[in-house]
Amino acid sequence: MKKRVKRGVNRREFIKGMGALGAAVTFSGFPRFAHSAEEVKFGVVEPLTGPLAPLGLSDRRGYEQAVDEINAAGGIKSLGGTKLKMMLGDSEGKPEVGMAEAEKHIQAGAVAIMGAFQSSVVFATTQIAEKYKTPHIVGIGVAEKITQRGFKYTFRPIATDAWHIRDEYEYLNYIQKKRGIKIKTIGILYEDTLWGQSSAAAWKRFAPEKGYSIVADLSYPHATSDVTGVISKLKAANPDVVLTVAYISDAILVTKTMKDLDFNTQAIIGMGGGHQDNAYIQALGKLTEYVSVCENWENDVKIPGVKEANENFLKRNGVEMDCVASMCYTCVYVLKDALERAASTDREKIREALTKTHLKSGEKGNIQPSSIIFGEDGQNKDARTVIAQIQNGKRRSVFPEEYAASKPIWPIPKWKDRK
Amino acid sequence: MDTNILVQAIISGLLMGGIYALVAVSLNLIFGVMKIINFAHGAFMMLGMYVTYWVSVFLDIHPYLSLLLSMSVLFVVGFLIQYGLINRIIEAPEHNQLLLTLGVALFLENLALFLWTPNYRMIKVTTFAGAVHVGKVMFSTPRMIAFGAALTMTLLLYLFLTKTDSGKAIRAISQDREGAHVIGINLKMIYSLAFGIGSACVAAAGTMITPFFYITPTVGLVFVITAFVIVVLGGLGSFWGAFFGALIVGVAESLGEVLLSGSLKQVPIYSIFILTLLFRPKGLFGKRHV
Repeated sequence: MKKRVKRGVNRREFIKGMGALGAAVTFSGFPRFAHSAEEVKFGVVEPLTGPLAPLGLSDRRGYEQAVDEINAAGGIKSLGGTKLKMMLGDSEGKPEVGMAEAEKHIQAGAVAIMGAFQSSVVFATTQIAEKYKTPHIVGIGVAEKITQRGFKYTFRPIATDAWHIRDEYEYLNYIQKKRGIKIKTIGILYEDTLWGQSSAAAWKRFAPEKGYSIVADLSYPHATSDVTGVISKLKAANPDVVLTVAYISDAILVTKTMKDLDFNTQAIIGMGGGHQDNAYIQALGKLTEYVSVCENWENDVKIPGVKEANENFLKRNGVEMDCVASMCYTCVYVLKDALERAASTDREKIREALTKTHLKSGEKGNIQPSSIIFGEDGQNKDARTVIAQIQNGKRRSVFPEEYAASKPIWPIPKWKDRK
Repeated sequence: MDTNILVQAIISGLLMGGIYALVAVSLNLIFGVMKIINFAHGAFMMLGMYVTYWVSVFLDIHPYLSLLLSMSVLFVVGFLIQYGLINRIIEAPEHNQLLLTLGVALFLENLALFLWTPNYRMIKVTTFAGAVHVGKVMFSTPRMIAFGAALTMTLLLYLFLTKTDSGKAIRAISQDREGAHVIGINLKMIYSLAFGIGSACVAAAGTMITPFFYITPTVGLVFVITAFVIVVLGGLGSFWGAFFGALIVGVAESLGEVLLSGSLKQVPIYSIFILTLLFRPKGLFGKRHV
């Protein structure tokens, strides 16, 4: 059981506080909160404790680095060098806690909210931001519906879950054209919670228009003890390519079972989640070689600013920048850009400025592989993803070609031909 | 449906059943014979896996070689938990035991999270890894070994309970606690011994699956719920019941996986379970006593 955090004040504290405030006002004149712009505050809501804490930490480091860089470079110039200040809020991975944290930030004077990692929490925090007419920049939270609710204060620079799938098919088209390899049949393999099921729906939705046919539609329960059955069905269907989403536990089991059953295919492409986790590579070593993953970012993409940001991150934290940190990093720069143009800390004017955002990839702290231009719905119209492939024990970006650091190894060598 | 897939499903189901048997047979001693509802069983399995993991990482040896160590460590852990904690409430209503063991499970899992992070780990093995292919059917080597271990352990526990004095004392307590006390059996000691043995056996299960299964603080949950079902299905206290019950559950689940989709694969297990409870409530192999 968690200890109940005491909120609010009791009567005695209130009287004491009011007395002190009264005295302060008498002696110093009424403080002018709105105009004493020594710093511009924004609030972040991230899962800093709970099962997602390691990822929340990565997010936090991304934000902090951007804030420090901006402040070191002279703050917000149009506001006379005002410094940025980040207020941290812990969602504990729960929507209701995230809501309370967002509200607290807004009461404390945040000009914008960022976060919140999980789509479920983002649904809640964006609602609060909308209620208080405060811009909310969604760093992570890929559910398509977040920007389909007609909200005026929600802005999302990154690609939605459905666009990840669109880009997976784009990648297959690219391979067909570039390598002259015929790809026709797709096997989809997913865990059957909400994530897997909504991905499956999108794979099926995009397949006919992109010219592919799904020959195996296989699901398994999350954290199951064995997947031999589904992988033997996958093997019998013999698809050209396997598209999959998996949490890390299932990704480990699936990869191992594919090896045991000697299942060979042209490519295995995961999406975020387990396949994006370094622990996946550490746990299985060579078995993960050639597995690909569709994700928002990879730290070797050839975009101006990525190398410096990554080096700085490594110096500050002792680990390389990851996808989630990079997105949080960019979000702070999106706010900075809007603040510069708004030349004001008024939330309404910042929102106005955000709607006119136009940041090219590699420009002014946008280290993402696409421009940032928000549509009517607040979704970045240009957002796209990268495909990375595990090569020599590290994820290397292989698509889109203009940003990719490596070339795709296609098809995957058969198990028996591997060392 | 391709017959190869069905044959493969039955084979891999039987092998998976062997792994369930490893967990269920040890749970049977604690839950089936001693009637202690032990929710910490999965946490003990997890601890056994971590012992094996750290030994293999630091000494760079095959996980199987750490079997005796992980069993000894968990014997001590189990013995002490029974001796110091559960013995105090052994006379109390059953739900008190349930809460206590659940508390122990939460404590151990969170301790593991704190000490070793939630990261998923695996031991990379090169010997006794892989699989044997006969025609189009795959036999996973480490799973076959685990199956053999399950069979051996079932046999040993059965012999222990029926042939040795300590085993007979455990059975005596489970049948009539006061009677056993009257004839001079040291209740506290025998309970602790039995709980220690059960914990050592589940640690063995943990060690045997490390060559092909990931390790994480909550890994026990993947197996333990199924193990409870198996113990009741096979008949409380019956070792062969737990063994064959595990095989039935393994095959049912595996056939469910290829014939149904997603989470529906568990439907056959629970259908069999409900039918057994309805028509044969003492379990498939259940007798009144061992």
